[in-house]
Amino acid sequence: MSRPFTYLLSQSSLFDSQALAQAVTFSGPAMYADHFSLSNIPFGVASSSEHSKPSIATRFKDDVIFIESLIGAKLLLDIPQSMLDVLCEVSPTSLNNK
Amino acid sequence: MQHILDPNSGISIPPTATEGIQHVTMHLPIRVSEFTDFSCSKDHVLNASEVMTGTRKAPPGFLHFPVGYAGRSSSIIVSGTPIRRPLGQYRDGNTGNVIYGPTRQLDYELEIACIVGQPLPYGSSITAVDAEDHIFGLVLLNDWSGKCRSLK
Repeated sequence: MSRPFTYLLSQSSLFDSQALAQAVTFSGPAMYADHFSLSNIPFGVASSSEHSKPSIATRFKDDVIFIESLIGAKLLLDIPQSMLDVLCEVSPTSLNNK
Repeated sequence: MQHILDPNSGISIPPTATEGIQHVTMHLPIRVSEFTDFSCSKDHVLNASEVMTGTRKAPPGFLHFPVGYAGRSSSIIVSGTPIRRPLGQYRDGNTGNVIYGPTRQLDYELEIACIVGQPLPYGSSITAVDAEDHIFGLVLLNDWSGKCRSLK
């Protein structure tokens, strides 16, 4: 069974408070598209304006794919229901709220 | 998942499933109850020793067991979070006085973090052969460390 990998990429720059607002809208992550091929399927927790509740997602090139949407589209049928429940359910209060 | 994500597989992913990386917010994917920071790279241990004490010397136990210490769980943050240079006491190289301020020697260390998903009952232990059964997954981790010279 292949193990899930998540890349938590860090930025090597230090920001002062004045650069903070600028730093938040960085395009840094999009520089790593070639890290995320089919040979490197990561798993992480993401949210967005369309997916407001943090949930499990993966990444391919520069696209983030929310797993619950794949489950909703019946694309992960060969996975046990107990795991599907886990993949769809992330309680923000159970994580450090970061 | 590889099959689903393969553009050549003929499987269509609903458009609502996908968003560009610049449009999402990443969150810490796990709740870190505790973590152990291991120092097992000989090169790193000698380099760090040189920076902090001036001499290249591994700790006495280095060749006998994996050297590690308990880290501060709340210091683990998700990638992209701006880092504040850590503050601490250190000896100013010019005046010789102990001062408090932003560390002047901040290094970054690329590490692999093993997320333990299957705990051990209290009082029990395992060997490396069985470790994989307890590892949920791996992440890359950047350990920012203040490496000011030790106070002597």
